Amino acid sequence: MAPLKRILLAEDSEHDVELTLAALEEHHLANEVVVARDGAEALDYLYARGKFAGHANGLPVVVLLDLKMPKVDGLEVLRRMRQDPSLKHVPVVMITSSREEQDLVHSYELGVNAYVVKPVDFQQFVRSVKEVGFFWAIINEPPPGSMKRGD
Amino acid sequence: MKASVESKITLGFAASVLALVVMGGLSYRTTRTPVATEGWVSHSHDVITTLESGQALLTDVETDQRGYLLTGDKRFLEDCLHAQAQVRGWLGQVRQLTADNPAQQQRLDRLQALISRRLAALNQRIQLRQQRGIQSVSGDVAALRQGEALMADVWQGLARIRDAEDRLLNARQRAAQASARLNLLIILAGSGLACAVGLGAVLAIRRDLKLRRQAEQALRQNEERFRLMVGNIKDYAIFMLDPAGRVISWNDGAQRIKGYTAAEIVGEHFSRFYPDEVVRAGFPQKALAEAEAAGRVEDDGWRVRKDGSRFWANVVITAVRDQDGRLLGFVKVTRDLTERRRMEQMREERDRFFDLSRDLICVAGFDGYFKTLNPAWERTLGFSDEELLARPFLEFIHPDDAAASQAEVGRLASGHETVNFENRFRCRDGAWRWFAWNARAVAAAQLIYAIGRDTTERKRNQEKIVQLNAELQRHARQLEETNRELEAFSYSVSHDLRAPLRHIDGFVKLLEKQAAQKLDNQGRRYLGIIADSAQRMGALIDDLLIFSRMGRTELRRTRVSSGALVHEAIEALQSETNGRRIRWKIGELPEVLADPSMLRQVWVNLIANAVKYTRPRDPAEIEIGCQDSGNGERVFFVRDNGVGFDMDYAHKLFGVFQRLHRSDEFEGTGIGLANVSRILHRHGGRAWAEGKIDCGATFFFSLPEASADIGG
Repeated sequence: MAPLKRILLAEDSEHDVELTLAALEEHHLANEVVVARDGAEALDYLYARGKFAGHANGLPVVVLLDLKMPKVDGLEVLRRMRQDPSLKHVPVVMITSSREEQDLVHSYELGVNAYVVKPVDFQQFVRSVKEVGFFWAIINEPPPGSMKRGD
Repeated sequence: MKASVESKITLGFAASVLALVVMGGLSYRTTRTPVATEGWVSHSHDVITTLESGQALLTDVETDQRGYLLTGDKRFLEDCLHAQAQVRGWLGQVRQLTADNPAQQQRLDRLQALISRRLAALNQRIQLRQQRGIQSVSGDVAALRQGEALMADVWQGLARIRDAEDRLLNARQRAAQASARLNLLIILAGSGLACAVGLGAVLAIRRDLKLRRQAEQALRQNEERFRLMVGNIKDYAIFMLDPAGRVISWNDGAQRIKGYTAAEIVGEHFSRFYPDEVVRAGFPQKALAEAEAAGRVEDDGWRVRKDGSRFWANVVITAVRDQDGRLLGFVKVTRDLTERRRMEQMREERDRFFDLSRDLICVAGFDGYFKTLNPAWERTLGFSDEELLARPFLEFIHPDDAAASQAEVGRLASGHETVNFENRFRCRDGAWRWFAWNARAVAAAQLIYAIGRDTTERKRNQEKIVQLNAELQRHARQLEETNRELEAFSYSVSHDLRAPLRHIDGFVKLLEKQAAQKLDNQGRRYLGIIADSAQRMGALIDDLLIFSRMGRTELRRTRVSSGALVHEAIEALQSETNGRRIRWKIGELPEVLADPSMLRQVWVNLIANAVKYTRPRDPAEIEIGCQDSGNGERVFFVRDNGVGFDMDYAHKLFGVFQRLHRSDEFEGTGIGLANVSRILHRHGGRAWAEGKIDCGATFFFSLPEASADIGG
């Protein structure tokens, strides 16, 4: 049974996962991150099914979604979340390599809360991810039903 | 007639005068004759009286002689002698009185002889008495008897003369009476004749005058009718001119056509009806001269109305002369032919239109034959009108189109219009030509009026166009395909290619952090190079993505303040300009119609270049401005005093990944100007540059003016 975490990171690239975690570690948030390697896993986690079946009720304070993933991509995950009354208030941040306008437009149309482009430059990348994690996991007041800090 | 009356008057008077003269002459003559006759009558009376006085004297002589003889008284003797002297005087007197009558003279001669003998005898006795006394004579009875016989002869002679004279007197008195009667007769007859002639003349003249009056009245009525008729004619201006050309009469038609009332125009010279230029050329005067010479002149030309407007007139000027050939003036008849001329011109134009038309124009019957064709038929098809009219028109139509054409004729006949009906007609050379027909029919006349345009070329072109279109569509599909591939490519570039780079950079940084101590300087330098390369490739990919996006994203044109964009761009470049001395010179920049984010990209690129390539200058000078090219374009420029470039390579400046400097001189991807160029192209503008090595560069770009509406 997977542990309950406050941040759901959906990312297919293991390097990106490692770099993202390295960045979040700077705010000591790495331990609060659960990683889904594609969209389907991310949904499994959110619905506590599949390999995440049986974990206690409670939603992450933020979902960090990569856009382009095998099986179910980030936009699809977002769409399904927004259609589900129990998930539609969960903040979602797109963290992606794409600067394509159509991706941006789609994401916002589906109700994304933030859209962050991963810079090539690692320092910048670290800074971006750190700040995203800091804001959503620490500063932002999540909707009711989310796991509170130190829960 | 006039002359005839006058001659009649003359003749009548002459006849009367002649009658009077003849009568006067006759009566004069007859008057003179009785006067002479009266003279002779009174002459006869004188002669008779004288004769009677002679008798008395002779008696005195006898008596006194006797007295003397008886008495011897001397006084008797004296008286006797005295009486004898008187008798002799008397005889002379009688001779004188009857000198005109030889018969009486003879009688007088005899009487004188008798008297002389008596007197001689008488005196002899006296002598006797004196000498012998009374006895000597008293007894002589013989002598006495003798004396008495002689005396009787004397008395007889005297009586004869007197009788002759009495007869003469009678004859003369009769003659005088006859002459008087004749005279009266002549006077009566002459007066009667003169009266008759005079009366006849008067009657004749009266009759003539009456006829003449009637004729004159008829003429006047005629003239009045004529005047009214001319006066009321509305369609013709009919008026008279005096020999000098001044108007002397005017009719309703003249007023209607020319606009003047009679009061306004009578007395004016007729040249005012002509346009100025015609008057200057002396035309009106020439026309009169010609009319005078030839009797009549006609011309068609422009005339001027009172209000100055012109009309096209037919004018006939006829000279009017009296019986002696003296010019009285001219009759001018003017018709307003403006409308007719317009109609003629219109008809002419229509004919010309019909003749000149490139389109085939025809009138065709419901019977299937052409009726009228314009020359375009022969020009286009090569068949003569005769050939085309001789056969049903369907024979000239392509067999494949015949049924449709016949159906179309049927539609026309039933009242439909033909619009753009196409069929083929045969040419003389055997070729077929396409025509597009518009037609209408007049059912009552059983005729079709049609116009056909030769569409052979267009058809050919259409086919070509269809082919080209198909080809274009194929190309377009290919392009779309390519575009889609490109999009997929750039999508994967933006997403998939950047990830590995990020990983290289990220893990290099992690390596540096964790293993820096374990690496020597060389190793650390290598890590630095790896990180730089990754970052550089990231930059390249980013620029390439921007470039690709510039070509694909939709233009959203609005009015943009160029000045504001420039200031934003300079602001954005602050990190580059910090710590440098740059002298900005920014001119007035107008509004343009452009996609703001794209135009911002242009300004950022150009200004960033200027900032970058002036890095060796202190101070750097960057001038930004706009000049009006004058052909509906705005030309903007960014001029710097930087390192410049070689104009030989100017064409490479705007190519993708084309650079004129090495990266270690001036960093850059070689995408910026390619982007600038692409954005301007999409806006309907262009970009170009001028420069010289070490002498700075000027980058220009043009945009259509803000007012121009350019489809994006």
